[in-house]
Amino acid sequence: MSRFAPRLLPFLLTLACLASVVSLQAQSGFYSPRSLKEKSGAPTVQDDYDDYAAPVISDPFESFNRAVFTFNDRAYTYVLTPFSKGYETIVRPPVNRSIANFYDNVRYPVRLVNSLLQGKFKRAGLETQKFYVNTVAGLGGFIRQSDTIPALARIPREDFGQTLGVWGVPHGPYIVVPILGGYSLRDLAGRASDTVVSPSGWQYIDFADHRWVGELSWQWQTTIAVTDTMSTLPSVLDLYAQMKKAAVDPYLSVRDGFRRYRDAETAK
Amino acid sequence: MFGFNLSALLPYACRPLVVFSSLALTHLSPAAPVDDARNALVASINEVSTALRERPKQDDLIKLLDTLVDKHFAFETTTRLAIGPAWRDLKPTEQQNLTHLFSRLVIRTYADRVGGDSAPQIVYSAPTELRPGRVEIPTRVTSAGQTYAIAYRLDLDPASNRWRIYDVVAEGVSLIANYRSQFDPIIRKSGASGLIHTLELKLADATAR
Repeated sequence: MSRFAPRLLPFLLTLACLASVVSLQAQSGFYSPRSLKEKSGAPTVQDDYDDYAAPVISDPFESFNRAVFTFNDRAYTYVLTPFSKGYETIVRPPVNRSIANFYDNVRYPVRLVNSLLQGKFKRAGLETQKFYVNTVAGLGGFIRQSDTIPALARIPREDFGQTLGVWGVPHGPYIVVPILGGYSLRDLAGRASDTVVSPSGWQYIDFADHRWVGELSWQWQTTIAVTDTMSTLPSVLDLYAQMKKAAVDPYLSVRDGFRRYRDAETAK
Repeated sequence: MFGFNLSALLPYACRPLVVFSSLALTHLSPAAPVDDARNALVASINEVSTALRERPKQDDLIKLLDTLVDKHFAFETTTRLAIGPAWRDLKPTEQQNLTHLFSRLVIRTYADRVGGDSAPQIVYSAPTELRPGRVEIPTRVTSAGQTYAIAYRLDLDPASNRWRIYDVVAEGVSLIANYRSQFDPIIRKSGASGLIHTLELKLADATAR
């Protein structure tokens, strides 16, 4: 980021100038697009409410979604949280973090492909370097060695949901999936597509037997699914608990938060 | 890796880990006030984290946060923006009541979150001006090995000429915007009294636990 700052500066400056000109004009009343929408255009009113106008989220299945949300809430509280606590006594958090690092490293093809699909070639190169560093110096990806290299420490993660966003595909309706949680149709489609690119979805050959294995056996698939999910589940459950505690209406809080988070990720 | 021991951090208590990004401030309109905003934010965060290092009990903690929040946060602005244009039609007593209830709710939520063993490492970036008297300061907060992008929005109070925090944007999710999305339907359905009632219920629920 900081390396781009000098090049971004003229752009930021222009933007800042434009913004200040527009806001000054709006304040002095020469030109105020907002006043057109207002009922009573009192000039003294501090009209900064538009800064926080809610994004329009299409939710045609709201009553159904709310039912699934309630089901998920019970599942998180009474099944997954105790299960996750129990799992933590067997697989300690530092070990679990290493497992999370490993799976994150293995999903490098997803980030590479989506960086390329979005035309972010420099990012694709950085992702490749990160993969080599973590695989070679990080013992197969269990240690995130790349964090010690500033250029590789904070590469925004790309996925197909973001790629679709960059291509201009709209979010579509909001859908709460059992256990997995809330997605826009676009992000759900993106998630499904990413599992195809992810190595756990690949076709394999057993080189020793010269035999086509095809997909991994169900035992492997289950082991991968469980250890992969459990490596990130505690932090997800923790975040959900925090949001629920702070929220007046947890359903709306999660729906708004998820959309804004995804939009911020897509913009990176 | 960043799971700092508290005692190890004490020498740094007066010398926080502050790194400024290379984007020079002087290029962004009046330099001095914006610079003040960053200093105010650093001072606010330091004061809160220093106070929390004393590890007060839960009740004292809430009292302590109450005082600090009054000093460093512009909760009237936060509440006004979270409620939206409907704010204009509220009676002053309703506005005060809502500001009080909403600040209680946010403080309680925050009090539950802090108090962990690890003191987060914070990297402050250069402020950007959102509109005159309003700035946004992006930070990167590293806690327990995870790094989060958290931006603070500050407002220059004309009366006291102090910068105070009015919004926190965590990973693109604004506190004000998130509450606004929840308040909107309640106000539309049952007005300010409905929202006051909902907040009272939520607070009673939070206090009971």
